[in-house]
Amino acid sequence: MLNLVRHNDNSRKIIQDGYSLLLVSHVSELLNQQLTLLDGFILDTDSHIHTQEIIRHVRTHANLKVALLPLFANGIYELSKQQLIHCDGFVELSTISSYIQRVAAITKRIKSIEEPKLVSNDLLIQYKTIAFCYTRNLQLTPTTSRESFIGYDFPFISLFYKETEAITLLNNLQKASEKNYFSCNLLDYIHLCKSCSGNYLNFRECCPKCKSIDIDAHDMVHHFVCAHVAPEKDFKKEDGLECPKCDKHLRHIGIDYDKPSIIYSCNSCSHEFQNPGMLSLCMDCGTENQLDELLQKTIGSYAITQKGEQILFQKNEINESRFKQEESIGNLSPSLFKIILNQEIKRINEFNGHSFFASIKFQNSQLELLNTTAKKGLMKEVGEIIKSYLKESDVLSAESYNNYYLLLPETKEKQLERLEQIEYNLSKLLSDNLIETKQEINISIHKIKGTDTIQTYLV
Amino acid sequence: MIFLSLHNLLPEYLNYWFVVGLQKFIRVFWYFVLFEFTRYIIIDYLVAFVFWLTGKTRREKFAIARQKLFSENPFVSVIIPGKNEGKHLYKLTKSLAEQTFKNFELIIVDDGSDDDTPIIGKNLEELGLIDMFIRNEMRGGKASAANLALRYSKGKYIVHLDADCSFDRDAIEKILIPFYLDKKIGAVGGNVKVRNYKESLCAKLQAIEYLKTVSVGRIITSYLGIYKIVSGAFGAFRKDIIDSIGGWDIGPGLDGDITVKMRKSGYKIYFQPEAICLTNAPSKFKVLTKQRLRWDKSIIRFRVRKHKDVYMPDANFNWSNFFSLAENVFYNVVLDILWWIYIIDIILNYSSQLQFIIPMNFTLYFIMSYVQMFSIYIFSERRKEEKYLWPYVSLMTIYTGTYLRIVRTIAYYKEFFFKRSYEDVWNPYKSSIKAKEAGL
Repeated sequence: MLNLVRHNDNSRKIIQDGYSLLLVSHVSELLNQQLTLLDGFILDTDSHIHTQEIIRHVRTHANLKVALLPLFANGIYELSKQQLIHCDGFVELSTISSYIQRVAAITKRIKSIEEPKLVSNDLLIQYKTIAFCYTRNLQLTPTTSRESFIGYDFPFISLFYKETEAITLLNNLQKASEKNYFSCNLLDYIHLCKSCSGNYLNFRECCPKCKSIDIDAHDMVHHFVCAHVAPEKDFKKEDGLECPKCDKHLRHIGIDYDKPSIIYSCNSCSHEFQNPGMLSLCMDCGTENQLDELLQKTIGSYAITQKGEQILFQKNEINESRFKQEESIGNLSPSLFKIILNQEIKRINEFNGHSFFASIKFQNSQLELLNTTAKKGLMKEVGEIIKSYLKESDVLSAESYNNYYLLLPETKEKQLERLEQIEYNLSKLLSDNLIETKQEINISIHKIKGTDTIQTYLV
Repeated sequence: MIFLSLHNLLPEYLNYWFVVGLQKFIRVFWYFVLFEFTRYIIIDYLVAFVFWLTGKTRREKFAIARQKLFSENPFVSVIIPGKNEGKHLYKLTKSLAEQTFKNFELIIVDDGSDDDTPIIGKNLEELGLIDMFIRNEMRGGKASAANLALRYSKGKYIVHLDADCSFDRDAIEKILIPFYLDKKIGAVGGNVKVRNYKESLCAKLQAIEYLKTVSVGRIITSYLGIYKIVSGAFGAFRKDIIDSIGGWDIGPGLDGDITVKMRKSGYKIYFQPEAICLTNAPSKFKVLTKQRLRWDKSIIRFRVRKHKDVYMPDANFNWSNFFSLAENVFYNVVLDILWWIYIIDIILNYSSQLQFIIPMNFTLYFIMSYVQMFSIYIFSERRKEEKYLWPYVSLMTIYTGTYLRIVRTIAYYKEFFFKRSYEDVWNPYKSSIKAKEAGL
């Protein structure tokens, strides 16, 4: 039996078996409500915009226990698949009792989890997403979306990011996977613009020499009897095909002639070739991408692991400190690095130590064209290469994607050979990933003297 | 007394010929005296002598022609048609990068390879080591692949190469110079030598054979104006002429065929012994036999059948073309038949004296081989290296005089009576059958 109650504040609630579900047709209806007292929501509007606003308001609510509440859609209205993934399905108001079991299961799980106390936004989103999956016993499976910058929308987590931040979303999911909170099952690879990370790309064949897209393909014709081979246009006559070498009429493919290949010709530079190049034009920012310049990202469905489930029941302060530690090992912030370096100078002034400061810089015009995400990725890889050659007592800091500082305490001259190895591997990293052959990597080494100041090294 | 003691030292078969006298000697060895000795000793040495006499003038003319070549610096297209040649391509590009003449494009046509050739070719094209790599998904035969390369070549001259060859640093320069000696020169043949001569006895004998027939043989024929085959492994052509005659026709034997076509168009063909190309010869007799059967069939197919008009005294008759083909047909086909007649003659008339005739015959050819080798020594630019081959010259009598002669006879028989060259898998059946129908 449906208990639809209209309250004094004009809100409409369905009370069933002690569970209270709020019917919402506009986001304003949520503003005057004590949402923590509710057990769920039912979308009750056919407006796409209103639906979107309500979903976003609920799912990104500051109070996690509200954000996770069941959110159904009234079965009499249609919902796009991009909106439906954030909801818990459709309900028929006439048979609401059959959905109460699901509401009960979700709310029970919501009560069991800890309220997060994390500072970092990325970690908070990871935590909330894990909680969303846990309360629904759900795999985070993306759905295709033309509106999304990357072509895919993920349930719940996509609501926390703007369209242009889709790469950050993927990176955050990847981080959670690396920490083994999620297991990822590969669904697709996407290719994104090197400049804006957009996926609205137009792929066209082009001349490999001048990159013009004004190219034509011609079938080659091989006339068996005289072995003449030329583009079909050379053979074309008003009444069919005629060999320009022996003047014979070509009647039957496979008997008189065949077409062994295709040749392209460029209308801009007259170059003739068989293997056209491929360019992709970003329809958002207008950048022309070579295929090997496109950013390739993995799209997968994510299932929470046992480790992921456990963090929902632990004291979150501990988690956060561990997160921070994992992220910062061997990669100090420049400000902290300066303090440590200053300390080392003072120590050497007093005890005559044998420490070195090294800076690693590289300049490459192609690097400057990379977007922020690509630069971050580069910093990560560079950091990993450098770290693999460092002792535990060495300190690394990244000023920017192309400027790194090293403090090498109590190091012998011979041990500095490590820096040559670092230089070789960084050159290889750049030459393997960039087309430009000239890679300039400058490593400068200074022995730290007691009379030095921070300004001696860091300008 | 002295004569008697010397007489006693000689083997019995030699003494026999001292006793019977010169007249009988010529009667019994008529084949050797009339054809082999005259052609391969007397004419060779006469031409060598004249060649030596004219050496200074020729060198001066070449120096002027070389200057003209480098001042014009013509754009040249190097074309390499082939099937399953991918494994040779990288080495080949390296060999060509070393050339003293640099102004050329490199076009490679992959004629329906079923190995890694397309991948290798595309990679080399992307790396800029090949200017154009064209892949035919369906095999069309060597002539069609060469014609495809010709269609896309932009050079004034076409240099046709085989992928498994390597070249002296100045090979392309040297092969282009003759075009600046005489405007009527339409094609120039390079000097093909055997690279793998240390590999097997079979390769060693071919190395000697190449030196005799390809190197020296072609210097002589070229000098006499009857040079008749620009080797497919290394030959240069004027693009305008090769275009006007419609490029290559279906093989096997397409390199000899195109040379005749050029001659018939009124152009001279030149052999350039200094343009050196090294190639791998078959190292097994089984493979060699197959190759020679193919080559020898093409003499009947092209020089006897397709180009028979050269022998007709009509308006287009040309003595030089006539002699060029006639010499080729005479010294290969006619002499092959005469050799069998000679054998029958000896068996029928001198069967009781075979113990004197056979060893004498071998002695004559043995001596002739070394005399010929000396003429090679005179012409060669790799004399020191080729000394390695001298001991094996003694086996040439069996190799050329017996083995190759038998192979040749089989090839002529098969081609003359059954036109077997059209069934050779070297060329795809789809085009061979059409060429057979058209009598090409």
